Amino acid sequence: MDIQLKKGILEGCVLHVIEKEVSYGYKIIQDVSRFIPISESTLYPILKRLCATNCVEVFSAEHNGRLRKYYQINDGGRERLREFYSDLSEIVAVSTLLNNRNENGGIK
Amino acid sequence: MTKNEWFSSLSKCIKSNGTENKEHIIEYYEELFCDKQDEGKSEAEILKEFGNPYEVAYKLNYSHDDEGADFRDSENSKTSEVVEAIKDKVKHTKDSALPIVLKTIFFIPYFVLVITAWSLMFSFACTAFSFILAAPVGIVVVLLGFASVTTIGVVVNIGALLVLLGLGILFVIAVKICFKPLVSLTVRYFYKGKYIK
Repeated sequence: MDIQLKKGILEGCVLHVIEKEVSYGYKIIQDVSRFIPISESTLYPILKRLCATNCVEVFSAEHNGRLRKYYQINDGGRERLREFYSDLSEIVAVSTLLNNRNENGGIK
Repeated sequence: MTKNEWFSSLSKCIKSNGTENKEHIIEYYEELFCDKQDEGKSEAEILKEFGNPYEVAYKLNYSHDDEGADFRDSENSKTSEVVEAIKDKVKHTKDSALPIVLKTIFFIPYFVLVITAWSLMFSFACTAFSFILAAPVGIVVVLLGFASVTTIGVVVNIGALLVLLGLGILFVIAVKICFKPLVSLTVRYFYKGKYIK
């Protein structure tokens, strides 16, 4: 997949998952993996960028006697997520159009 | 590879643009490790899922600074993985002075030993070849009566040539037996000796 496209989609998926509930690294990977494969080393820069661009808040909380980092979406993140959904519907529209033309023998 | 080895390899290969960044990455992986462990996964399983630490470090190194370098295909990182692995090994050797001294001391004699062994092997193979070739030719020459006129002479000559043939065959067997150990000795010295402790 195109690098820029994949980057945008992964970022959107991460926001989508965090918006549902406050989450942490491992859980985000598991949840996002249901839509699209994601590795630990791919998630790290996404989380870092989401924090840097003020889309996500980070806080540490105790879990099982150790500290765990939790990620919570903020208003900036929700705005970004809305943009992602609308971008996604555009992509879906284009994809449907292309598929239809394929079936009619338009584009091969 | 143990957990400690994995993490130290990762930590060594992450570009330190601020120690804070490195610490964050290590913390991030430590947390993932604990979460996976809580789920009942074994150390080996988790490290396998994390993948090669050099490759992970490479991906992380090229994802912070410039946007375009994000999400490279894993094929691209294969070469760097090897480069990093070698760099890592080199660093590792630099850390301790003693092995380097020992390696230098043993380098020359070992090198001479390997070369001598190969030369010996080569000369044995040549001798065997010439013996085996010479015996039938010699026997034909003797039987045709070019070499000796007396019957005793012919018998002695043929006997000697048969001994030569036998020696040749013995040499071939010796070379065949020695070949494999010699190859592995050479490979271990020139290849493993450099990159693997």
